[in-house]
Amino acid sequence: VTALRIFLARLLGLFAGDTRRERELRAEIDGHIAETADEYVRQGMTPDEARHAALRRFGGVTQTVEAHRAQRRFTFFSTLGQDLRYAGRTLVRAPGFAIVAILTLAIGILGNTTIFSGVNALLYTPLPTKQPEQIAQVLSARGDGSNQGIVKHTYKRYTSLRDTNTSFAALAAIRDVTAPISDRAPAAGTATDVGVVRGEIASGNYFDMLGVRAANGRAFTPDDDRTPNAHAVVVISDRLWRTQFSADPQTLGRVVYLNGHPFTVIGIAPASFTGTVFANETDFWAPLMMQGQFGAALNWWSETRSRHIVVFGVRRFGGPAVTGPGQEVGDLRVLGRLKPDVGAGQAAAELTTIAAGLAQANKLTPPRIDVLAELEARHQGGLGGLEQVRGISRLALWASGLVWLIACGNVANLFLARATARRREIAIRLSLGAGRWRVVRQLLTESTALGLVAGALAVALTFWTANLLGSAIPTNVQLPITLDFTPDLRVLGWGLALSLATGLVFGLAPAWQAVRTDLVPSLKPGESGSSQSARRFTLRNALVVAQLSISVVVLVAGGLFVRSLANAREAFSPGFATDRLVSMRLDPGVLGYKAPRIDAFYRDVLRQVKEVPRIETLSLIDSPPFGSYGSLGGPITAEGISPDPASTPVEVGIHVAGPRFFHTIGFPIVAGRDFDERDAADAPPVAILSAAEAVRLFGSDRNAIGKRVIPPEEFNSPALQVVGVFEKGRKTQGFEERALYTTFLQRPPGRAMTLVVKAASAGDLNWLAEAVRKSLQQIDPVMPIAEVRKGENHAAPELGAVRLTAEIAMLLGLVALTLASLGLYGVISYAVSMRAREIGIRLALGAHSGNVRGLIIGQGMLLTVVGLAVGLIVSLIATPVLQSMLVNLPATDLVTFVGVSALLIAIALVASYVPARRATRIDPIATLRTE
Amino acid sequence: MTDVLYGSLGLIILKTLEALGPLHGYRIARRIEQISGDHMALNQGTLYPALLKLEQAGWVKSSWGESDSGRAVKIYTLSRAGRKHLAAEEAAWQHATGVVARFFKIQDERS
Repeated sequence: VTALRIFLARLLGLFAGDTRRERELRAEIDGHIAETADEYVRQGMTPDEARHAALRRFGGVTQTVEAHRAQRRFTFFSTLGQDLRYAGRTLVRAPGFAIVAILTLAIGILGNTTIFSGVNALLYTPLPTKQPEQIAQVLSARGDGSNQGIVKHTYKRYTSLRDTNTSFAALAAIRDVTAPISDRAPAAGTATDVGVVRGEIASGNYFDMLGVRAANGRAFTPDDDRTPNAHAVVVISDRLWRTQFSADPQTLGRVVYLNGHPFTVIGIAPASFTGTVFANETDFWAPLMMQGQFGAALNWWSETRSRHIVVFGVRRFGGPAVTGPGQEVGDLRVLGRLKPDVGAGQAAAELTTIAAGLAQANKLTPPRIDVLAELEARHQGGLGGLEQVRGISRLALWASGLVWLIACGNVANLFLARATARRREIAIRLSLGAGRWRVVRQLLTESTALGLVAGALAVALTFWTANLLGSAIPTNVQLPITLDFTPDLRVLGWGLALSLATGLVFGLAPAWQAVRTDLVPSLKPGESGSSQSARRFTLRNALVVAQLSISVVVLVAGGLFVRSLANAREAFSPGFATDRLVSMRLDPGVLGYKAPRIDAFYRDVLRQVKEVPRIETLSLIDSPPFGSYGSLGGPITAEGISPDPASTPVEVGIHVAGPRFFHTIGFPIVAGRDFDERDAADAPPVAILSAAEAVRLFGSDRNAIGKRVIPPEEFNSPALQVVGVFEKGRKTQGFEERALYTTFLQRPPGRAMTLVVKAASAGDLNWLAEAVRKSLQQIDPVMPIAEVRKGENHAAPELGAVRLTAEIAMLLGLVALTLASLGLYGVISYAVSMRAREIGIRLALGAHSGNVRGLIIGQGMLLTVVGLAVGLIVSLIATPVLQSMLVNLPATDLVTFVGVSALLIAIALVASYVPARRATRIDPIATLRTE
Repeated sequence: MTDVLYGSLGLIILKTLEALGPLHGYRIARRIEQISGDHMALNQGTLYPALLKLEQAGWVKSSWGESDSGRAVKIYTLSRAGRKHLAAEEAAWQHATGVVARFFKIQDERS
């Protein structure tokens, strides 16, 4: 307590009445001395003698005042101010040095803050709800153990899970929708003031489960969610309230038109609450009972979407194929708050049992229910899962940390070189009585100031680079999340800590060396302290060797991932070339359109989008062979051949495609032809079979052409004539073997379809996607366009993860190499300037310039080889950690190690050749004359 | 010896103030010199930082007053907290010296 009180008093001393205190002290001391003098006078001294005696008796007045001052306030700050001013002056006097140092450090710090803002956004930003760690997603996974092909739930399943489970405190269902919004009833042809916004149609317990209250008005409750179509109320987001309603307080109670239906605004959500899809803005929330207003089927509350639904998609590498009856597929995400003492695994087991009972009653494949913590669920299907994201994060943080160390090493070397130049100055200060600690402090202040300036620069740049990184991260296009990597306070704190650490790390070596300075030789004119340079050299060389070996480690990691990426392209290939594909999902049903209008819309799409330049071909498909979609399915038979009643019926996926689908996607037609305009509504109904199915039914590809197949009964379809047989790509993963395609011109699906566009050449797919989007908006300005995929997005998400890792690791590796070779260059240049006299003598005595060059390059190569050897050994020990992230590549891949070695030696040769050439140009006369 | 005494200067000042009541700096210095019988070469100037420290800790209070010779001087008074602190420190000091003294006695017995 006492220490605290003294501290506070001193703190006050910083601000209040310091000059008054000083005056008072002076008066007090004067009084003291006068009293003493009085006494001496009484003892018989003359006043003059007495005064001198009194002063002697008192001791040093100045020392007393100084000590008093030190006790009164913190000398720390005034000294700091002094040191900072001094540092500022020294740095401004050598602007080149300061700029190089600041830029190098800024690069080192920038890598870290950028990566950290990404990691922070992805892993450390919880959902904006109460106790977000209890929130878990209930996912229905495909029974084959793969993590792909996650399907949503039906309302029936949701209610039975909600009512029977004991694991969740509350379980809510959410339907994600996109809908046009308007503040007046839509009239035909007027779409000017309409925006399209994302919303969550959620069960009544949604807000209560999340623990979110309306900032204004009220949130909806289970009472607002009792009867289908009867609760036209809506809660809007703070953002929507500000943008669409100009933050008008009268918004509550107003009617807005969502998807053309009137809803009354009952509440405004707090600004911090943006819905339950991570990093995605939700603009409105309406009760689940209002699903019908957002394009749900007529009897959505009772349907199970029962039989014959086959889910397929690109499966995780190496997973088994799926056959058997279909699963139940709905439109609802289910999200709940786990009871405090219930684990995710326990909850999953319980829900799986409940769902299995329901599936059995409906004669469907029982699903495997997964319960994933929200953090885990948000990364599902994005970069390929939470573990992937964690792995990449760890790797990137390590690599950027190493790059930072290299940058610090460079600047430490710069400082060391300068410390040699400043040795005279420091020696003078020491000999004039400056404490060694005081000098160290001055030097550390200088380096810390430099670190902070660099840190400020880096943090400012992070706002740009972090968002660059954000846009490079592949996300799950089916659940689009817009990643916001804008640095927050945590990132700023991280940057600050790093800058301070930077100042210490690179400032310590020079400071340590400065106080070990031997005073006498440093003060002698012309003496460059050659006895000392040997030791100093070792420190500088050690730094460079360390930098080179660290850069080897980062480069090896980068090289491994680049090699792994090449393998991944093979391994995760979807079975068709993706480099020219652009696709997007269109769902006219969301706008409440009915069958004839939907079909007309698709026809318009094919006609209109064709006009976009640089398109080779385009088509439509209801359930594309990428991503994961439910497709209809069932057993089919060849006409005239009754199936063996003893054999189990074989499930076949039944799809609806547009003309030229197989040409567009790139599956080769091995017999017959692709769909085209001949297959019109009034022409005989046709089908295209997969080769496997053609062989099963008719013995061979060729035999199938012209034959007729009969679809399952519930399709209400006449027999279809087989006009073509296609072969799926050789390496197709998970794409079903058995499939039947019909054409949408004859069998309009009346539901969502994916537009697939093949560009005339691999090139700017972003441009093409945008052009297609514009063209679609000309047809219908409010049509929601979702799941836009370009090129690689059509492959497994794991490929994106591998590519991102390779890009980050290689970029950091190259930065590391650049910094390390600059460090090498600096040290060799310095060596040349230190040895100028020696080289001059050598040249004067007749050494060839080649000899001199060899001498200098030899020195550089020695450092390089030592650094390389250390780096390779460390890599061999460290890289097995990366094994799980590499695709079909050993962590000790020889090609990578040899390649990195060759690259480093080549760069090091260049870095030492430049100063070596300068050495040969030394004029012997000039160097010898300076003596 | 001076080191030990310097460390306890604060305590000595407090004790002086307790014994004699409010005093100004010169008087405190003189008093310390008298009591120590000039065994302690007190650098009188060191008194002032020590007084400031005591004041910051809240153990003494200061106010301007007049010396016997009519000069304006700062007069230091022991505060209640200071009195309490002094009592505690004094007890601790007695205890410590007592223990040390016992050890010196052991040596006496051996010789």
